Amino acid sequence: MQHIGYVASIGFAARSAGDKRGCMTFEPDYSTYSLSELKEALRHIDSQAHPQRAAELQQRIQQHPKQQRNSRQQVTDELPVLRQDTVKFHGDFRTFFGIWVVNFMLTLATLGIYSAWAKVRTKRYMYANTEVDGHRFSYLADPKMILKGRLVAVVLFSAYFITSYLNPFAALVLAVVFAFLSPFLINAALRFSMRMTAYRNVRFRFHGDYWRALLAFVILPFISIFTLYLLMPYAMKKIDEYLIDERSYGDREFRSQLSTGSYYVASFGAGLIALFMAITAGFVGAFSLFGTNIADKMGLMVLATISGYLIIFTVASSFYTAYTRNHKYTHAQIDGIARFESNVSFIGLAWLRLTNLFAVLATLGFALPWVRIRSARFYADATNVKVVNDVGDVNVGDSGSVGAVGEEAATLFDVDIALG
Amino acid sequence: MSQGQLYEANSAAAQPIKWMIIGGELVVYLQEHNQLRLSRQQVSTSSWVPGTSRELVLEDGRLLVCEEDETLHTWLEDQQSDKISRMETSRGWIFASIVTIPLMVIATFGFILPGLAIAFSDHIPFSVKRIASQQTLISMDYTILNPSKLNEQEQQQYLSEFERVIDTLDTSHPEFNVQIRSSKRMGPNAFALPDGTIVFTDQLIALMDGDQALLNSILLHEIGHVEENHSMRLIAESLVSTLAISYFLGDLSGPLEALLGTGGAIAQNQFSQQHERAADNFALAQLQRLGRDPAEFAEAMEKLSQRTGEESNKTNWLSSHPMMQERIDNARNYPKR
Repeated sequence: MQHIGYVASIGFAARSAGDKRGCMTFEPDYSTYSLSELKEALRHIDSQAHPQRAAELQQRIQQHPKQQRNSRQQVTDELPVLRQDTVKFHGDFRTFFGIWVVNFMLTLATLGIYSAWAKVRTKRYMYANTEVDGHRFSYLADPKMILKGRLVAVVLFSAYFITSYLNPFAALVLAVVFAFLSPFLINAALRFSMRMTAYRNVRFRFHGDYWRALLAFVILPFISIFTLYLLMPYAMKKIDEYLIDERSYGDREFRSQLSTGSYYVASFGAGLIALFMAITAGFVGAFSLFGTNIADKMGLMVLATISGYLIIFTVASSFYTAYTRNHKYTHAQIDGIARFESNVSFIGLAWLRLTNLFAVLATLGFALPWVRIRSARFYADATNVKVVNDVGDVNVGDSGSVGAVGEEAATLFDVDIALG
Repeated sequence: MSQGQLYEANSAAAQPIKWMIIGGELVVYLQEHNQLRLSRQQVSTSSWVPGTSRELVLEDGRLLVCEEDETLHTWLEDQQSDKISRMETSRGWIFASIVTIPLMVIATFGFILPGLAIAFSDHIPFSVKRIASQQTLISMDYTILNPSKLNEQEQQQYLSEFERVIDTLDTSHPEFNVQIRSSKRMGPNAFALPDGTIVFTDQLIALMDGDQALLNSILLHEIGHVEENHSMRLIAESLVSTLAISYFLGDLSGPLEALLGTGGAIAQNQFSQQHERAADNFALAQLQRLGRDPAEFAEAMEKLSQRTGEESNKTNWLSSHPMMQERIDNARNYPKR
């Protein structure tokens, strides 16, 4: 009878309705209990009066997926590190420049059709030159699938763009439709890019479902607008959690234990840096304009404002990226296989991004391949992988096919999914 | 003998191997003196990317990764795919690419895409423009426009004068329809919708002191926008440039993207500046044809510019209307008949 008291104290309407049935037949249906409810029931049960029920509870707790998850997590945390090393990036600028420039030329010459092949070739170069624990990654996408995806995306985007111009009411409707469609696009994009990534002949996968994506990418950010964006760091944490936890390498799941506090530190830190820089820039600007005819300097002022904005944005966002990346990697692991560590320094990243920006502008874009190579090297050097078990034990898990439509549509619609 | 790795089909298990091409066969030496003999038909591979190892997929799904090697390239040789990797490593092609990329970018963004945009926008059927215009006017009436404060008689007087100007035009456009609204938010303004609906605000009429000649010259400017299909062109032009920018440079991140956004806005303003000039010239030519003085348009512009305050000369690449002064000078210098 004890568990009936427990039910009353918890007061879940749905559960107590179920338990009324249990009362009458004296057979509670434990299969509908959540893990915490099972534990709570076990704590309160009179095990002398109901030994079978206590045993059943214990068994159910043992077999509960969440419980298994928790204990596996502990195991991975406690396993001794077999070996650890940084990620190694072997790409070099000269070779990559040749690939990039020839492929970009072919893309322009074919009015964009070749871009799908260009994307695959540049990605294959980057993946095949990234080494973890003595083995390289592979990128497996078929350019024809990407081309198909791009064409669908172009048609969808054009329809959206034209409709929203022609009919302001339809634009509003479309914005709502798009908000509800975006989780689908995001998931499709992630499924595709994970499926196309392999390491040691085993592919990565992404399992996210529509509702969790809707919560993380649409609902939470939307609610945070009404909290003056104070909820935004929490929403960002939920997004990152979703991106990590729904991923797997073969049959091994990724999992993370992220702290909301870190996202608040990262966001407020970035905000303070931006504020400080903006105030300083404002003073410098006002001082240098003092006594001059403002109308004469209008063009210069506009230019200074744009570059000031770019620099502030670059530096502040570098703080956020460095801080959250380090946190994410250090608190993420692949089940029973590996733990990670990231040591991106804020100053280092800000310098990398500022010099990248400058180089691209100064060379009218020809420095892009150089930017890609040095950024990959920077991130690789800052990433540590701790192998805790034989990676060879990982199995491929079940496979399914996915299209590139989602990914390409997501990039065109500007759905931002940074996989860091 | 060269090095490589052999990966299992269903797990991440791997073993280091050595390999050699012997008599047209790829011989893979496994551990414990086992070996695999593979013919070319038994392996599939994707085209080689310079600076990467070769990845060979065996029939059973196992993956063989071999260090890059000339004998292996020859053994795997595939004319089609080799062409690209040869270009990617050839100095001639790299140099040619560096030279032709800027030319092709200019050709694409300067001529091909705008040409496509114009061709596309000129094929939009009138019924679509009609629906779009009606919807836009309804939503503007709902938000920023109010009914005119002028009485019925005054409105009729302006409208019948406008009607007379329109009747004298030699135009391909099916119809023009002028409306008067009041809008504090828009202030003195007039705008044209793609189906030929042209809206004047009370505030503009007041600014022109109700001078019909000045209002007519503004009407002609708006008719110029309709005649040349500017609103459709602007949509097509911004669509095409947005598409092209995200398509060609899609996977950039952060500040670079922000910069491209600015670039896109500048490009769009360039388009609308061109449109304003074209509409001005249409109005001036019509004034001249009707035996009116093009300076009437200059006077209207002067009144507008006094009202809106003058922007500086230096920011014109950021603004959607060409510099007022430039437009006024253009109108003043336009020859009378």
